[in-house]
Amino acid sequence: MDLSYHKLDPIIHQPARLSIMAALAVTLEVEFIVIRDTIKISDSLLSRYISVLEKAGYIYVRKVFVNKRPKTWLSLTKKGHIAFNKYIQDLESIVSRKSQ
Amino acid sequence: MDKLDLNQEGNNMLNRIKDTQEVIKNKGVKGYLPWFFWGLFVLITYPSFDFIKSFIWYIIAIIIFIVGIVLSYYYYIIVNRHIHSVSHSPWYMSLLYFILIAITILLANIFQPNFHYSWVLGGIILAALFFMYGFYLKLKY
Repeated sequence: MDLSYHKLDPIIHQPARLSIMAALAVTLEVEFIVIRDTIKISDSLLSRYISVLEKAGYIYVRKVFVNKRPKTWLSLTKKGHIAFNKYIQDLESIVSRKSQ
Repeated sequence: MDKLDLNQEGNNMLNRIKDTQEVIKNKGVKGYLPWFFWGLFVLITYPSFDFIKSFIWYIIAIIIFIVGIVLSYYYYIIVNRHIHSVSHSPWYMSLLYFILIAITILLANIFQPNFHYSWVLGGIILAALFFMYGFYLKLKY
C-alpha cells in the first residue's frame, strides 16, 4: 500500500467535500442549492459536509432572508483557499510521481 | 491497490475538481459578454454617423444604447442571483468605459468637419478597447 495519499488533507480528501471546495474556489460566493444541484447530493448530506468544512475553518456560511425565505451562501475562507491550493499541489505531485 | 489504480485515483480526483469548476463557471456570470456587446454596439453605430445623417437613426442608436444598459444590468443581476462570480469586472471599469464613450463622441463630433471618417475611426478604436477587455476577462476566468 502506498502511503503518499495519506499525506493529503483528510478533510478535503473526500469526493463530495473536494467538489464543494473546488466549486467555491472559483467563485466569491455560491448559494447552497447550486452546490447541491452541481454535486448531486441530498440537502442533509450536504449540510453535514458543510459543517465539517466550516468546523475546519475552510468555508464561511452566511445565512440571509430574502422575501422571508432563508438563503444560505457559502464561500471559501483564506485558510480554505490555502488548504485547497496545497491539496491540489500535493495531489498533482503524487500523480506525476506515480506516472513516472 | 497497485500503482496503476492509485495513479488513476489521483487523476480521477483532479478530473473531479476540473469538472466541478467547469460546471460552476458555466452557471455563473460570463463577465465578458456585456463587453463584447458594447464592442459590437460601437463598431456598428459609430461608423454609421459618418454616412447617415438622419435624426431617426440617432434616436434608434440612443434606444439601443439605453436597452443595452438595461440588459447589461439585468444580465448581472439575474445570473448573479445564485452565484457571486469572480469574473465580474469592477464598477470603475464600467465607469471608465462610459467616460471613453463620451470622449469619443465628443472628439468624433469635433473632428468630423475636417476628417470625414472620425466616427469610423472612433468606433474602431473604442470597439477594440471593449473587445480587448472582454477577451481579458474571458481568458482570466
